[in-house]
Amino acid sequence: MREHFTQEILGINQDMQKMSVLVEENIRRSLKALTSQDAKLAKEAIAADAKVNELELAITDRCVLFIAKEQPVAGDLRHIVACLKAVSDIERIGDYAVHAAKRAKELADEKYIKPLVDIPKMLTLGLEMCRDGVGSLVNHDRALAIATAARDADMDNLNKQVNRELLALMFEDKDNIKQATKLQFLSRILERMGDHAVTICSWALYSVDGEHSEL
Amino acid sequence: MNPETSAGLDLKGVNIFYGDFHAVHNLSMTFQSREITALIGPSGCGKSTLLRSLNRMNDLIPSSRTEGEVIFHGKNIYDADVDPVQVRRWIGMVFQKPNPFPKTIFENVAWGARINGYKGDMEELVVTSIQRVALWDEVKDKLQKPALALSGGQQQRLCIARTIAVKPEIILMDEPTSALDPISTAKIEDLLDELKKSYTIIIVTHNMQQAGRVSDKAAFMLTGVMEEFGPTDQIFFNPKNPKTEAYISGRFG
Amino acid sequence: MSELFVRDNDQVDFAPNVAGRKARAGLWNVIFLAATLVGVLSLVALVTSLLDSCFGYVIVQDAYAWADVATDPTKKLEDLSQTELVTLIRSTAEADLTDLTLGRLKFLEMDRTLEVRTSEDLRSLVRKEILKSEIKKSWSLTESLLQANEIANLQKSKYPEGQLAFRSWLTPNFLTQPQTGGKAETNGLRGAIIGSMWIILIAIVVAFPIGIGSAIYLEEYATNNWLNRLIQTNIYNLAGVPSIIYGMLGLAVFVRLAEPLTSGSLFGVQDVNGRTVFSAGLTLGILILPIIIINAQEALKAIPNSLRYSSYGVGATKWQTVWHHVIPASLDRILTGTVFGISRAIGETAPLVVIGASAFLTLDPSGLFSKFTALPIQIFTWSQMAVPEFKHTAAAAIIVLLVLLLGLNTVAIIFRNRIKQSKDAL
Repeated sequence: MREHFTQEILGINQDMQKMSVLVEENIRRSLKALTSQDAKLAKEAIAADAKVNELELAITDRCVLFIAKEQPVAGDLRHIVACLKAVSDIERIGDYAVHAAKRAKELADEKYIKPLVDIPKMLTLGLEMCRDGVGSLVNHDRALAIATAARDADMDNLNKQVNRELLALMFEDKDNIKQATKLQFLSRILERMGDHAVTICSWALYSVDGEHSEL
Repeated sequence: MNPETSAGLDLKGVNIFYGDFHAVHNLSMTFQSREITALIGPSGCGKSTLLRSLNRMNDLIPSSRTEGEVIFHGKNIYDADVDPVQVRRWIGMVFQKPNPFPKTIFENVAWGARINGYKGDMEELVVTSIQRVALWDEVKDKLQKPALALSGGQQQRLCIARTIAVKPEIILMDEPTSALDPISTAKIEDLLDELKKSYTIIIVTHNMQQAGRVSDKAAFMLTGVMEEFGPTDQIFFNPKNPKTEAYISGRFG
Repeated sequence: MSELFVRDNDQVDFAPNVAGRKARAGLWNVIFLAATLVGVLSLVALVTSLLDSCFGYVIVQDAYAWADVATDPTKKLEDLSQTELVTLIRSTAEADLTDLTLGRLKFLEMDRTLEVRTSEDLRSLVRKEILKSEIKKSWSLTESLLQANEIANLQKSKYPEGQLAFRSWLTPNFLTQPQTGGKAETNGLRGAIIGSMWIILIAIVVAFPIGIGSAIYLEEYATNNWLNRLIQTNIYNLAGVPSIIYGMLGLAVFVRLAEPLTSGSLFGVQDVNGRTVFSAGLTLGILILPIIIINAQEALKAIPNSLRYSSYGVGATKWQTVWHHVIPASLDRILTGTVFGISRAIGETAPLVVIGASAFLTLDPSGLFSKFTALPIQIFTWSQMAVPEFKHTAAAAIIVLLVLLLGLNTVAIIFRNRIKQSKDAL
């Protein structure tokens, strides 16, 4: 029953995943641009964000129209609202990927004061958390949502680690300060990726339970 | 009975049969005083049957049999010493298709009160009743005109006025707006909000959105069984029973 | 036919044959029209033949000449005043020159005295009793129109003393005169009309309340058990029972068994038997009772249950619902059906014959316990008589009966329309 209704919800879920994939790709691009110091790739990543923003608006419109025409209630309504709220978090994660790309572009011609180890880890973690968070929302996966949210601790730890190392480097040599502050700033930004992914997980729980949980 | 306190209804183990067909299964629930409770469910689930049993209208159907207790002010209305005619005075009914008497508008409202021996000022009663259903402005200069000349929405409001003229405590409504256009429906829904301050209202409706808009509590029935009963907010936000969720999301029924 | 509606590829799946279907429809149209025409023509033929018999030439011959009888022969009968007519009649009776004896005059005055009679009445009295005007021969309207010359010649040759006059058998006098003996021209319908009225009145007074009451019980109160189903079936059967059976029932029960009641001897009326207006009314009442019950039941059935439910919903009892809502809503149908029942009763002959309608009744029925006659009986009797002139009076009486029936049905329809209008306005 209600073929149109069911198909439309599926469509919205697919759009959410598509958006997540675009963001994941962009995170990968930024990661590669950073590690290989590829300015061209960085530029591509920056440009690719436009698609992510477009998709956010499109998903928003689709959800609003769905509410107007199909009058969902209970679980369906909670899910649509959760999607509406989560798209802005996905978009922010995309923005942070762009940020990383911008830094990569800036630092493309410089020599790294130390090989990048933790920052790529943060990017990878951010990618995974985004993927899993959206996955838990779209698939109504309670366990995955909770597990993914838990990984934010790792993200925090990585951030702290990066900070410590950079601080040490700054003490060592005053010339490192310029790059180090940039890298520090980048790390802080990337840490927020995790926070937004946690928010996506809490909306996933809202869709399933109907409650606002502290994750 | 104290006319100042509107009463609720307590149902205990109610079973209703049409001949051999078991229409309502062992139903126990409480309708709270001065609240609007919606009975929802697919066609044939027994909600109209249940509604009719609350004021012994089922008695008029020869094959119908009701067991269990329906308790009103501490008395089971199905006891042998209870007269159904009296029950229907206190528990009134509004039907799906507006059915005013083929009389004048005034007489429609006055008749019920008159046969129940109303001692006060009849004209005042009629005017007040019609005002309370937000119909006064539309009929104030044609009280002596035939009721059947009114539009469907006006007729239904007149039927509600007729019901409240005998000052019942509980009003039963069997899909009162399903035969009406959206504007008449909206007017009657606004009316319900006002009426629930004085009466307990139990409304059967097919219209999910209407149940969501007007009711305080909702009861979902499926093939004669009460699947879930709770505050409307909960039923429509996060129902406990998956069958309820499936029904209100339109996945069946 | 427009080319727009004829398409080539349509012919593969359909063969609409619109022309053929229309032709067939047209054929049925003609057949139905022909059937209607046959009905209409039959009616027209009936009415025409009746009217034909009501008017025509007659040859009137007096036994006694006006000149012999009149005090002043120069004055014509038509010119005499009422008092002069009274004097003439009394003097003639005393003179005993004609067939009008004193005894006969006394008998006539038992009905009404001479002084209170109208001039026209007195004139016809003179013609009948003194001059002994007799109609020797009569013709129908078509004969009168088509064979005028032959009739005139016949009169001159066979009845030289007689007069040729154009007579209408259907006159107001006809309606107001009582029945008399052998002469067709002096007979009247008064007794029959009054008798019919009495009988119908009694029948209605009996059948209407019982019928409506039964219908209300059967429709609103009776449960659907075997006994009530049996009663219902029997009522339907009774509606189709031949009316003569009701006559036999009336004879056995009302005329014979209940004789003290129906003859009035229970109330002290002397010298009577059970063959009274009362018995006849009761019998016809029983006859139309099943019809009234069935009709009223249908009227009550036609009221939708939603009306009853809305009444119960405000706490009304079953009786209040029936009395205040169901009956008023079905009243127009019930009344219409009742009037149709009456029109059926007016025409019933067989039961009245069995009960003992008097074929010959000169005195009008004056009360419940009088002997009676009725329109159909009168028609029957007259059409059986040997004297050919009576066929005219029979035809006239039939016309009266038809007009009465038509009038009643019209009243029923007007009544129903008025109630319907006031219901729609209401």
